[in-house]
Amino acid sequence: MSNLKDEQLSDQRLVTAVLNGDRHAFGLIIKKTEPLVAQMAFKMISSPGDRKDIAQDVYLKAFKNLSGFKFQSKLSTWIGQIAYNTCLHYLEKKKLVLINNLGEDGEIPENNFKKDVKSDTEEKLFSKELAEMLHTEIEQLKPLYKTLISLYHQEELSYAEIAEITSLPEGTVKNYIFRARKILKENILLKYKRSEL
Amino acid sequence: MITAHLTDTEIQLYVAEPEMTSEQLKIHIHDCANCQTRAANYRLLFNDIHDDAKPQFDFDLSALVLEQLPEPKRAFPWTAIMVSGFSVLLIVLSTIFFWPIMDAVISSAPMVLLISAGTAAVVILIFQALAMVKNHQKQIQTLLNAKTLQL
Repeated sequence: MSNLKDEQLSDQRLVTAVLNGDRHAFGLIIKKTEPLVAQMAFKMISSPGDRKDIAQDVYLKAFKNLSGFKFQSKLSTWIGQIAYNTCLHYLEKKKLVLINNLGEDGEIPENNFKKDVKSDTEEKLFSKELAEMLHTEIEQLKPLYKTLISLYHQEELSYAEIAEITSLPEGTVKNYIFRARKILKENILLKYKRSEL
Repeated sequence: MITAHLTDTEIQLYVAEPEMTSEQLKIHIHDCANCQTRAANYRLLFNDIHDDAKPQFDFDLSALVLEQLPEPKRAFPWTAIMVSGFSVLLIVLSTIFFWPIMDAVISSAPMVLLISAGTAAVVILIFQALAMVKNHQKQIQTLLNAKTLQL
């Protein structure tokens, strides 16, 4: 709780400094929130050139609207919202979908998985190759799934913060993250089993 | 005692948020090799996702953005000027309107009382000014303090 207060106080000082014309303070805001924006840009935008434009666009929008920031959330969450909406707008413009439908996790029935699981297979599965395989599999996920997974596991945001950034209900965020992990695990298992044959 | 294996969601919840898992489910996992293996797999998966390399821009975003920022425009302080003008006008008009009464009070009051009131007012103003300066210096120090801006 006190960390949150400290962060809000720090946010407030930075915002006040920027509004008083201190550009260096805005540079600090960028440095502070860049990892979060990068996560979303990399997970939602595949073209490196577009990613660069979008990242700049996010901060120019943030600068333009900074006087309207009311400290009702953390500054990073607010900038995260701008980044998410900017990426979403880009995907809509390109007619790309953030998520297809909800039927993806029906591909590998739970029973089959359970029946096929052998401890030695699973032991092999989660060997040194896992990290590399996992990275590839994360990239194969739908943009929304990989964004949510990264925000939760890498940026260590809470479900509530992710819900605020994405404007999705907290329950939906939770559900999508659970589903994304399941897809990841099943895809890795499938890949590993195929490589065994 | 729960005999059926836990669902995938329950296993994930057990690994990610064990405090949200009921004691009955925990007992089942403790006694079930299959569920233990599945939980261990998820634990490994979560750790590997966490340790996966974070994406980074291969350009200096901060420099790119800062050079595009518009020059700060200082808005003309119309409100402050209007409030100040109105206040001065009010004081002048009040003084003119109430001058006969004020003149009578001043001329009839003893000199010691007037000097005491004037001194008290000046002292209060000095203390207020000192407090404002001190507060301003403190704010500037906090703003420039590297620790508070540490990222």
